[in-house]
Amino acid sequence: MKRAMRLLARLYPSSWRKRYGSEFDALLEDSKPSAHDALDIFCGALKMQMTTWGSGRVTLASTLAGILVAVAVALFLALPAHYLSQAVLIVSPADESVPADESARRLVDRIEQNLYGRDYLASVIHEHNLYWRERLRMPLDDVVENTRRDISLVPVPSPGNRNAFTVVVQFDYPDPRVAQRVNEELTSRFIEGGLNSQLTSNWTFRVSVAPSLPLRPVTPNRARLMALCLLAGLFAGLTLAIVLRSRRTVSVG
Amino acid sequence: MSDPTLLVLSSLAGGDKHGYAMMEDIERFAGVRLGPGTLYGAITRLERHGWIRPVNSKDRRQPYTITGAGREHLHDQLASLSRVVRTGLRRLENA
Repeated sequence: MKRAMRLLARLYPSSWRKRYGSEFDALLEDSKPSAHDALDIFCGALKMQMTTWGSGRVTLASTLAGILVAVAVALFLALPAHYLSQAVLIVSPADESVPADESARRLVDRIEQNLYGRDYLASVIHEHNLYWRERLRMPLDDVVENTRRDISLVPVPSPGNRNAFTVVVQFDYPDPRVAQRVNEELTSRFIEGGLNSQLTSNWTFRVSVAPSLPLRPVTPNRARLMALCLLAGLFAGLTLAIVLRSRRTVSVG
Repeated sequence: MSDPTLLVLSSLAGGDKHGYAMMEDIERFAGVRLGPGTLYGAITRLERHGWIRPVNSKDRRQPYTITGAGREHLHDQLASLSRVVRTGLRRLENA
């Protein structure tokens, strides 16, 4: 950490380093190293740099920041939004006195096989005209594999009943209405698969939350993307300006 | 009070000190720990205004002293702060 603090101290303007560098280094030798002090030195160096800047370097830093913000806006517009529709099912044993851990696991495995089957997913893809762009350039089996990645089944034990469990059925798609419709299909299939299974005579299925119509995309997080690009732009602009200044100072010296 | 320049001036009003001694003194009397960047930012500004100046020393730990103008500035600032404190306390008591 002490070494990092000494390196950060080199970010100060060379004129400032010439006047205060030696005593500042002595202070760093006396101080206990900490992340807080390292950040304090970094901020101090940036402030000192900015007070000594001419309009040329301010323009350069602003331009770089602007370019990165523009890239963020372009990504913002180009990246497809993804919407996640969710449904919650409660699966409980008909006879709660019978321990059913093992049979619950087998039940979920069986339903998953049913839900992730290649022929079934191919029929869902055709019925809802999913991934039409991808279907133009990749084989159907690859599109089915993509669909499997966009489905998730998350079993969670139900509090208060060690045999019952909750299953969250999720489907992720760029169109919120299609995400909801497909999730309705998947949820029905989940229940049908469960009811048709030979294992399920002891189980009841209840839809606790119907497949949702997602109002906001889960990805990309546009606010975060913009903030990251802005910070990256500022950092890149400042760093470049400092490096250019150091090189100019060396060449003049 | 968290203005680093006033804290540094208040510290030097009690005697000449180098950077690390100022940090420790300020932490003792104000309960504020100034980071190295903040401390030297304040020292740079104060020296530019002529409110402090370095004392001749062969040690790398450069001591500073408060100037007459610095004492005057500190006095004005503390008097102003004191008025604010008195007014605030009086209003709190009357509320």
